[in-house]
Amino acid sequence: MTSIPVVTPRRYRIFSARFLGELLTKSWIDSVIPAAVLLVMVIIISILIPGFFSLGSLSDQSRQLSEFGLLAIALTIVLLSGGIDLSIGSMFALCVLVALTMMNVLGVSIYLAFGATLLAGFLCGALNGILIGYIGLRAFITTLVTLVIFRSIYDIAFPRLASGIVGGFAESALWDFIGFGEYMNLPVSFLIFAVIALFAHVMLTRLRIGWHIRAVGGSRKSAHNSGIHVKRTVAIAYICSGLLTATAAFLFSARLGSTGSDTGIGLEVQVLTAVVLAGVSLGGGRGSVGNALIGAALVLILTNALIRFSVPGNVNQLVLGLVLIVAVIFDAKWVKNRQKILGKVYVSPTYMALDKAPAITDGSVFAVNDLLGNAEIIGQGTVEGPEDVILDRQGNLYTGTRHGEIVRFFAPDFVRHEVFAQIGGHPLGLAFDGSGNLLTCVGGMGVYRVSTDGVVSKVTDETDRSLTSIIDDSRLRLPDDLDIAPDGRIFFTEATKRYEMTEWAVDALEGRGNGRLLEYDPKSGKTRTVLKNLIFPNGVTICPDGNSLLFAETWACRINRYWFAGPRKGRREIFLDNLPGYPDNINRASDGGYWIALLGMRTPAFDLTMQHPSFRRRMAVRIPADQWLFPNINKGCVIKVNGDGKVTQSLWEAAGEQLPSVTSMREHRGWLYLGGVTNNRIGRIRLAEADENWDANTAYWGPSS
Amino acid sequence: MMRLFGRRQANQSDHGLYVPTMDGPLRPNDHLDRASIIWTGAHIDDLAVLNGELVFTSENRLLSLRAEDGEVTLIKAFDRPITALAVAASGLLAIALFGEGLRLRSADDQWQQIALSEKHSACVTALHFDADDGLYCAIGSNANPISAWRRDLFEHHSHGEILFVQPAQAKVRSVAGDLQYPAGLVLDGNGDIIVAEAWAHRVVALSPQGALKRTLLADLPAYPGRLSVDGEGHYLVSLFAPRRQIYEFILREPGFLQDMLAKLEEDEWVGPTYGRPRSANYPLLQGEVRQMGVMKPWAPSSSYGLVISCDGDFAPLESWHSRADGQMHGISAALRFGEHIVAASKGSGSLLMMRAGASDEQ
Repeated sequence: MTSIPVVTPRRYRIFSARFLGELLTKSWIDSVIPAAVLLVMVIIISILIPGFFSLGSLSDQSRQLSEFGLLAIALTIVLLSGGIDLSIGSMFALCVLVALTMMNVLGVSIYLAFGATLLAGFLCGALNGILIGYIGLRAFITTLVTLVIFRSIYDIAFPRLASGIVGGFAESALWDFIGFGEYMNLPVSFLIFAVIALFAHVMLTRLRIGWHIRAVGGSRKSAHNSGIHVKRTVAIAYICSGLLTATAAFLFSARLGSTGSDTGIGLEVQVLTAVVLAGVSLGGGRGSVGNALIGAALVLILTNALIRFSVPGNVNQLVLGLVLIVAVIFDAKWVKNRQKILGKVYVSPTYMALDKAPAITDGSVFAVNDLLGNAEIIGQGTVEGPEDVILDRQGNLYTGTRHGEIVRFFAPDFVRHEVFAQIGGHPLGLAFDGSGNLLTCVGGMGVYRVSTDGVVSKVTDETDRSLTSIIDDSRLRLPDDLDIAPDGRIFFTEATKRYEMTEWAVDALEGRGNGRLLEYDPKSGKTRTVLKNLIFPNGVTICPDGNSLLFAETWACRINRYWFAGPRKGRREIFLDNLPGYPDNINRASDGGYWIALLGMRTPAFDLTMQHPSFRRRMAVRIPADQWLFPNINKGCVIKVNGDGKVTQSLWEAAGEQLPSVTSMREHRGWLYLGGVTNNRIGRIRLAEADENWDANTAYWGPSS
Repeated sequence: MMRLFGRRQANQSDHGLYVPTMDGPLRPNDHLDRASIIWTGAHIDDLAVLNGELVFTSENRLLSLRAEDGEVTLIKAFDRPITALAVAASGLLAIALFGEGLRLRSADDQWQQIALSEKHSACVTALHFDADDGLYCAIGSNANPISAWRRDLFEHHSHGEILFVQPAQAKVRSVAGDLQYPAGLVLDGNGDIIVAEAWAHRVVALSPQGALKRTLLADLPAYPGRLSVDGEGHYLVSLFAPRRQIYEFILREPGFLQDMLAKLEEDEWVGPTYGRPRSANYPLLQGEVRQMGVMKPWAPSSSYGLVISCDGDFAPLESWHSRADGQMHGISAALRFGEHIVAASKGSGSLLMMRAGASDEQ
């Protein structure tokens, strides 16, 4: 095979391998397998046992599901907090006893009975919570002990109350309604369960207490270090468990009206099987109400189906035990390997064929020279990662560092410097607006504004979510550069939405159009996506005509022009194609042209690998990132183009030691200032033919007032 | 059982991509960069000792260096590059000329010419005399000339040979064949031929009849080149280029490899080099990116400097390195010269001198 067949590029456009990887990043992916198993089981059983899912049978099963589901949610909450509750079965029995005693024997109102049941559940849960949360005993042994304690209380109390319960009769219409009634063709207990489940889901995923519970379960020490009150959170989890168990017991009592000596025996094993089978991790921190529901449905259907097959009770238990073993093994393996699988599957390179790079030989405009060789060095070692540089009207120099700061060097000699603002992330592109505020794209955070006295405020960190994207692309992962149109609108690029700031190199390997051009309108305060599927869009600059802008697509080695206003609004065309290097930032030059930084040069070997996507995918999976083929960013240069896109000059540093990679350059009053994101210094050179009085602030916003 | 859940095919496993870490006696250092440079010139290649003077080759010139004052004199210049050099105990000197064959100089300065076949003379990598002035020649490959050694690596050739020449009768016979690029050759005390098989990254011992006897040094982290032995029976192995996981990976990707060999120029290939790549088109690996002005020493550079000294059983004793941020890469030959060790850094064009046992002094 000496050449790539024509079908290859089309195949990569149609079948995108990245969807599998993006699906695996979702938090609900753990529930997919159990949900699939549930679906398969429903299909098999409805074939094997006709009438299993008939309306009448469903009605009774859904009542059972309500009680069992509440217990599953109770256990899920406790598991999420990193503990376990083996006393659920005994708590359940005790609460049933309380409920039935209140209703049948004592004949109190249903509300009082419900309150008493909840109190019983609360006390049981609080006992667990205090012993495990506050005193710090181990969850397993403690709940095993409370299992015995509650069971013993039940065994002592039940014989004394049994005749009273069986003989008594609860006179309450509401009691019967809860037990047997239907509302809109759905059993009432199921509706109650649905409401509680919904609330539990909201609590666990959206409310602070739910986050605290998951944090404590995920990493107790980190939660403590973050200021979460670990003991209180653990106690609350057990109390929730007690309350939910009490509610389940209440529904059970309303449905059956009586209880036996074996109520609740073995229930904890059933519930544990259900939740672990569905993906709630025994280690804590992973799981959801959805998992609890799927697991409860699975176990219930399985148990009922086995009963229908006349399987004796103890064999039933055996089957459940075996299922639990399989579920625990799978859980352990999945948790350990999910990140590894995700790492192998996520990177999905695609096919990208560039035209042959223009030669950097003597005689061509790209010939290597040493025009940057005598650059003055500013701030050596005091700034790390100065990706972009900008100067204000007074000539002070500003740059962002990888420590999340904006550093200001004072004119005229740039020796004295200070931290102008502390933002976080890594401030990348910089621009001044008409009032002298400094706007910056902060990698990992969003677009931020720094006022003239150093006060930081957020401009935007989200955009509209596209419906066809699996990844939540409403948030900004890597805003790169920005520029401000004459009417104040801010146009900025997001380089990639599939990778974070620290992994931008992997996007080079993918070569996909993962980036976009966005627009923020200060009048409405809204951000919207203007152009999508761009290949690592990087530098942006507004053209002097005020109606269009230029933006770079780094890995595609080209500059595009987009009209955002005027008669050609909405049009996009290629401004400069097939560059010999990777363009980064673009800024205006004093003569109406533009300066473009090439952060690295193309190499034939890397260009060739872009035509072998499966080679790159295997490379990304099998060898460490340190040894991946990479664009040559040890050698960069600056090029000058005129307003029509013709390259007129290139500036290099032949030795490549002071300024190996230039990511941005800014012309200001006859000097050109250079920054590099992998460097720890800024350079500047004198431009002999440039206008000595030209500066960008005046060009954009007019003379200072 | 593991295979059931493990990799489907052998060549898809990650096992073969493993490059051994350098530890123990091979722990990286910068001794080669700290060594004194006693001469500089392009294409320094092979070394030998003759009558107490150091004889070395540089492109097409045969030079000699006097130990007392370091003065370098030209012995003879040829019209073709010299690819190997050896000196016998009796004072007989042999060189291999690219594309022609062997030239031998007797102790009384008489030159003799022994022609080799076209394929052999294009790739003589090493020479060694035995005790009776018989000359062993290592032919790296009879498929590619010595200048195309990278092509030979990527084409997975094992076309190397060992020849034996009797200078008196000018007879050439083949001793061993089908070797994976023998780049180094030395005889041990028992008459066994010790060969450094570069592409197999190992040093093996062959019987005088050419049969493989045993592997002496395997799983080297770089490609072994020339070998030398000193008076105490200790050996010096010069390794001329590093092994990297990306090169091992590319060797296992036939589709990409074919494309690369067909479409790119040789200096644009991804692969090991003697010295820092000259061409601006040479591909970069991610770990070689200069961060904050620093090239990290453990970057996966395409060149590396490494000399290993081993005892009589080829157990490594100590090593001299030049790491990714150093200059003295591509050591093509090293030998014991009195109290010192002299190494030829072909990658930088320098002749280095360092003390044996220097690693203890740092």
